[in-house]
Formats: sequence, structure tokens, C-alpha cells
Amino acid sequence: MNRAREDLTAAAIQGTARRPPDPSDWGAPLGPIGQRLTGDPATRLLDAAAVATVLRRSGARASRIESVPLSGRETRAQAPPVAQRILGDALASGVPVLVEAVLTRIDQREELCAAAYVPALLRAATRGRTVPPLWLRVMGERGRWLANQNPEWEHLAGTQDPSAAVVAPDTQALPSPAAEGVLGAGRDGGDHEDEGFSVRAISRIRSWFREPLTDPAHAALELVIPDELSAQDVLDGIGRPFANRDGSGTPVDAERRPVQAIWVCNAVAAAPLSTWDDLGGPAVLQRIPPEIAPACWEGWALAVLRDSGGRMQANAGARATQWARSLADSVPVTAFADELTPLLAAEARSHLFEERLIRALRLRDAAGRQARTRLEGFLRFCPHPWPSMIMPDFLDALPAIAVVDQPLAWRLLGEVALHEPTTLLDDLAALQPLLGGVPAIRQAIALMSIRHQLDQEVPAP
Amino acid sequence: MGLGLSVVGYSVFVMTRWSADQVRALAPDHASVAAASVLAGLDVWSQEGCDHGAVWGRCAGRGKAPYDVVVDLGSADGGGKSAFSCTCPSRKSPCKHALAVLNRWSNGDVDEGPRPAFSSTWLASRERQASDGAGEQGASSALADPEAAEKRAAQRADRVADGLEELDRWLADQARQGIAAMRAGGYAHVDAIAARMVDAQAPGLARWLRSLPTALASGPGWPAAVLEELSLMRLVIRAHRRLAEFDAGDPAFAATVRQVVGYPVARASVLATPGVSDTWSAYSLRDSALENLTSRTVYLEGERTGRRAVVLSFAPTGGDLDSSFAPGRALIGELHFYPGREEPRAVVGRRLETVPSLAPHPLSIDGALDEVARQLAANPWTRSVPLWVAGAVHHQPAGWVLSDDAGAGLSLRAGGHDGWFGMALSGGESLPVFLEWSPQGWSPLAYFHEDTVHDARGLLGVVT
Repeated sequence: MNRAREDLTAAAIQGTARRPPDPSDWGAPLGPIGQRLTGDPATRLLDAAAVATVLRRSGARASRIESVPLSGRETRAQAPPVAQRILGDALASGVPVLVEAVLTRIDQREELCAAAYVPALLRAATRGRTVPPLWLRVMGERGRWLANQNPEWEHLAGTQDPSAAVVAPDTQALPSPAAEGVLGAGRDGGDHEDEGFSVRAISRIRSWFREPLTDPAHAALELVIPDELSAQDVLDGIGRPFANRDGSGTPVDAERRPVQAIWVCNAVAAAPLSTWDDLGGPAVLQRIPPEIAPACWEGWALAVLRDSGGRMQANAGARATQWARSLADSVPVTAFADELTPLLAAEARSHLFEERLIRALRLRDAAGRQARTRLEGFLRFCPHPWPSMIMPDFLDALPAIAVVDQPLAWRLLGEVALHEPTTLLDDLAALQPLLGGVPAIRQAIALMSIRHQLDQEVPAP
Repeated sequence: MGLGLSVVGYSVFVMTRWSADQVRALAPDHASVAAASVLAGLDVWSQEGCDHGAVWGRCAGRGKAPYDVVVDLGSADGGGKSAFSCTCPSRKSPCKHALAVLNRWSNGDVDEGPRPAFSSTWLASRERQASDGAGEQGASSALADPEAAEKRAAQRADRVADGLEELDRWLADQARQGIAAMRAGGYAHVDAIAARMVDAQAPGLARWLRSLPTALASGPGWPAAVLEELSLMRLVIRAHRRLAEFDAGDPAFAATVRQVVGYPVARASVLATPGVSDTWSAYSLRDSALENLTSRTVYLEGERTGRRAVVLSFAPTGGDLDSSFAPGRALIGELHFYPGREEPRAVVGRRLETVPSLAPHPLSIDGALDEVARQLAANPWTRSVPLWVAGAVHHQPAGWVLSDDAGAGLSLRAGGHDGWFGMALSGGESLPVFLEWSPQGWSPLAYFHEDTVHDARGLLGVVT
């Protein structure tokens, strides 16, 4: 059969005019058929090839295959169909946070995803070095078994203890710099026009993080340091964007100053609260150079909000009042002095004070670059759910932000969708016409909807 | 879909609400499912309603005016085919708004009520078209002149015969000169003879010829692949010469030859043949697009008869394809098969009810190979044999294989998605796999796992 097909194919390639087929060498079963065919060599070739074709197509035989190892026995039950359906929708959306939300809920219930979703999850996991432990738990034995069958996924099955989540160590006490030295660093240069003042201030703040460094602090830095400045740069004390370009003390251009102020704010906000005890209180604030004062104050307010459940909470009211009064005194001309004065007079409770102040600071000009960035920083540090007074401002400001800076709007929406109560679903949906085709609003609505579905149909145990 | 109740010669059609899975099965892609799921839960709906044959609603969208969404559930045209209308700009059909209103209807969130103007206009036009079509069909058959029709058929047969003789000469020329030259000639070389077949009213052969460049570019094995195609064309020419003989002795085979050549078969004449009643489980659905035409192929299998069937539907790109079948659902009703030996193509006749698909009865691997051989013996031009085979999917260095409990193995033409998906479901154990045999090999179309039919392509959405 093979000889016949080879001869027929060779004849077909070269043409029967040059190389007619020779059935005498074909053997059974085609040889006798070929020898009986009549006509010119071209038609004989085609007729014999037709028989060979049908013989080949219908004559396939199975090969012998060794059995493969079976997947291990599962110890968890499979999640209910409704959870599987929601997971399918989340995977189809292609949005990692949606997938993560569903997997987390399935894991909370100590259940498994259906085998049908395992390849998609493993494929997604190849983008990282390891499968997140949560994913491995939810994929169960089937996931590990399948990963071991595919060389591209094999390394993903190597996690030794899938129940072990990555737990960051507790924040350790940091060295205590002299607050006056830090915040008054600008005085050292004696020239407020020289950007060197903020360079030194920031360098000192950075130095707090150098030894020892804990994961949460590092993560906080990652959040607040702009893309162009890696956390490692800060840790290493390089801070090139802060330094003068030629290192000679030449002032950087004025356009960069607002940006630098934001970085000051971020760095201060990222500093562990324990260090604020070393700053020296209002007396220091009164000597803060006006250029950096708002940024430092803002950073401090963010830090308080970030740690609102922590040990600073108890003293926040008194401290805020005291510090704010000092700040107001220390900043001769400030856009928000009018806002501060009545608050201080009313001696508002700390959290209300913070909310109002933050709103005044950050939402006055949501479309301005500085304000937008501060809004983001604030919302990042603000524990969820956000203060109720902030949400309407945020929703109002969002369309304006989206017009100027869509990626920022997307990130903020992501925060809302991931953490805020799902009762906001309709509010978010109402934004859709305003935000038009911003994909993030669709994504945020989808995420909130999935969280809502999970709460309704696949409740946590 | 609905429940047919026969009452002394009358059929009362009672519409039951579709299940969520039925609605999901209509979606053109996973993204639409997800979007519709979200949309269905939002407070953006107004003027919703439904009746025995339609669901409608208005959805507030991005624009000032809401989108008018209407779904014809399929009773209007008498054929059970659903259709969708939405004023949104989406080119998907059904769009997410239509899916969302169906979701809400399926959940019981839409109450029965009178049709508002925005829905009644479109629905009325559909009903009018359906009744016009039925009227025209009746009129055309009433006006048909048998003598004239016979004369036209004879003229066509002569024209086809002339064309096939020319094709036979062309084929012999290729064999004589060598197919290496054919490869050098490219598309133009084939296009000329394909156009000639169109003129000769042999569109089946024209399409086949136009597919030859694919074989010419099929890699190292292209000479053998091209020779197979040319030789089978020659075989159909030889069979066509004996058509009168087959008409007398083996009309089913004569019909097969005509089908390969491309003789038209009127849908009405197919529907006039006796229907085959069964519970027809849909196991796979494939859409493909060619120029301005979209086609849908649905693979079915009868529970009682064990007969396999293929239902095709066509629509202009963006138009509505027949969405009455969904993998995982079964139709209790009648199929009418096109004429031909082992011909799987069918049209849907009487529909009674849809129910969940029944579990398949898979063959062993050796049994599947025997079945393919049997079908090829009946119709040597067969290019597709879909069947259920039991086996475990796994990956070997040479590629994907299916192995059964007897140790028999079958190479699969599976991509990364299909293969790993099947392997994940299988877990090393045997499961029913819906395979399609083609001259190029065996391709998985679906898997049956935990009482569910899974499309072999798995979840196409990728988390990025």
C-alpha cells in the first residue's frame, strides 16, 4: 500500500508524461487493481489514486497506548453550579480581580472549582512565577495533576504547601530620626529656591526605611512612589528624580516642584506612624518651609487615615486639632485656610475633621493634576469602605478625572468595585452614560455585580 | 422551548420560559454572557413584557434614547427559530441587551402583558414575512409546471455533464503535466476551472476546486493531499456518467453523487419526505464565516434511532442564525433528511419540546474506526463523520491522543485549548468525547463530563 501510494504520488508530482505509474511493483491490494485499469496513464493514475485514497481513509487502525496516571482523589467538594457559572463569567471577562474575587469565595467555603476551569486558571497563572496558593487550593488535585502533565505548567505545581498564604511580618520599630532635622532640612540649605531642601528632606525620610525594612512598608512604598521612581531607588537612597540633574545643586525646573511636593506627601504618608512621634509636634510644623508644609500635612493626614484602626486612632482627634492648628499658623497663604478655621473652631471629632479636611484638600479641583494625584493617594490609603462623605464627591469627580486621566479613573473604579459595598452598584451604573466607553466602568460594574451575586447566591460560610 | 399538546387534531402551543442555560447557549461569545448577566441585574429596564411568542423591554444605554429590545421566541415563524431586534449599535446577534432581557424573563422578572408599539411593529413584520413565505411556497408549488421543470432539469443535467467532461480533461492534464506545475500556478490556475464549473451549474465541484489551494499549501505532504482530492473528483465524474444507472438501481447513491456535484435540493422537497421522530440531542455547534455569509453547523444524534444528523443554517454576516439548538439541549421532534447514502444533513420539521440532552452512547476506538470505514464505503466523498468515542485524553510527545480501556489509541488533531481542556475533564479516566473524523484526522468537538456537554474549545476567555 505504501509503495503504491509513493509511486502514485511521485508520478503525480512529475507528471505521467514523464513518469507513468508502475502498478507491477505496488503489491496487494492496489497492485492487481492498478493492472486492470485501462486508459491513458493520467486517468489510470487518478483512478488508482481514488481507490488508494478511500483505502487509506477507511483503513486506519488504532495504535497501542500505555495508560496514564490518574488524577488524585479530591478532599474538597465541588462548588455549587451557580459559583461555577460566576467563575466562568469572571474568567471570560479576562479581568484578574474578578477571578480572584470568585476564587476567594470558593476557597472560603472550602470548595473546588470545576475541572473545566482548571486549564484557564493554569494558563492565567503562567504569567506569574507561581500559582497563588489560593488558586492551587481551589483547583485541588486536578490542578496539580494537570500542571504536572504540561512542561510549561510543571513549575506551577511545585508549591509545597498550598495552604500557606504569604504572611508579612509585623512592622518593626524604625530608627528615630530627629524630626526637626528632617522637616527642617530645607533650612539647612538656607535657600528655599533651591530644590536641595526637599531633596534632603526626602532623603532623610527615605532613610527611615533603610534598616530594617518590612514587607508592609515596602508595599506601601510601591503604592505611593510614582512609576518612574522604584521603591528600590527610594530604599537605596538614590532618589534621582529628586536630585539635581547634574548633581551640582543647580535648581530643577519649576514645573517639577508640584510633582515633588506630591512625592513628599507620598513618602511622608508611607512613613510608619510610629515615626511621627519623633517629629516633634506643632513646634516643628511651624518651622516647615511653606513649600513643603501642605505636602507634609497631607501625608500625615493620609497616614492617620491609613492606620485609622491602629494605635494612632485614640489620639487622632486631639493630635489632628493640635497639628492642624499649627499647620494653619505655619502656612501664611493657603487655599484651604478658610476650610480649616471653622473646623478647628468647632473642635470636630477627629474622623469628621479628617473627612472634611481631605475633601477640601483633594476634591476642590479634581481635574487638576496635583489634586487628582492626591485624590488617588488619599483613596489608596483610606481604609475601605471609604468614609461615607467621600463617596459622593468621588462619584461626582470621577467623570472629570476620566476625561483628563483615564488610567487613574480606572484604578479608582477598581478600588470601589473591589472593596465598597455592593449597594453602590446602581450608583456606578448611573455613571456609565457619563463615562461613555471607559472600559473600567464596565469592569467595575462587572466586579461589583459578581461580588453581589456571590453574596446573594454563594454566601461565605 | 414549548410544549406541544395535541387536542383532537389541534396543536396548542404553550410557551414555557427558557432556562438560564438555554439563554446562555444563544450568546455569540463568553463576553456577551458576562455583560448580559450584569445588565440583567441593573435598574435600567422599562416597558418590559412578554407573551406566548415574544419578550421585550427598553434598556437605558449610553445615548439619550433607550434601546428597544425585542426577542421573537420562535413561535411566530412556525419553525421555532428565534430572532432578535435591538436598536443598539452592536453587530453581535443576539446582543447583550437581548440576552439580558431573556435572562430577566428566564428569572421570572418579566411579566406578561400587551405588546407595546416598539415591539409590535417588528413582531408583526416577522409574522407577515412568515405568512407571506408560506403563501409563496404554496403558490409556487401550485403554479409549478411539471413538464417545464423536467425540461429545465434535463437541460441542467446536460450542462453539468458537459462541464464535468471538461473537468475530467483538466484533471488528466494536471496528472499528465505534474502537480508541481499546479502549485506554481497558484489560485489563478484553479480559479479558471472553478469558474467554469459555476457556469456548468456544478457549484459543489466549484467550491471543492476552490479549496484546492489549501491542500497545495498544506506542508510537506501536499502532493499526496492534492492527489487525493483530484482523484476523488475524477471518481465523482465517473459516477456522474452512470447517473441513470444509479437512479434506477441505487437512487440514494445517485442523490449522493448529485449532492457532491451541487445539484440543488429544495428545502420544501426535503420537508415533504417522511420525518424521523426522535429525541435529537445537540452535542456541538460550530459557526464559520465565508466572505459575507455566516454558517452554523449543529451536530445531533437521535436517542432511539442512533442516527447522526447535521443541521445547517446560513445568514448574511451579522444576521440571525438558527439559534433553536444549543449543545446540551435536545429536541423532541422530527428531522427530515436530505437524500443520499448515509446523508446526515437534515432540516427540522415538527418540533414538540426541548429537553436536556441525553447521555451519549460512545463507541470504542476500534468501533469508531469501523464506523468511519462503513460510512466511507457508503459515500467515498464523505468529509466528516461525527461520533462519540469513549477514551481518556492525554498528551504525548508526538501530540494529543485518545486512549480507551482496551489500550487502543487514536491521534487527535487538538490545539492547546481543546487538548488541555479535555485532559482536565478526563483526569486520566475515560469519558465520552465527541469527535469529528475528517480526511485530515480526528478532532474533538465536545466532551461529556458530569452530565454536561462541554464544547471542546473550552473556555476561550483568557485572564490577562
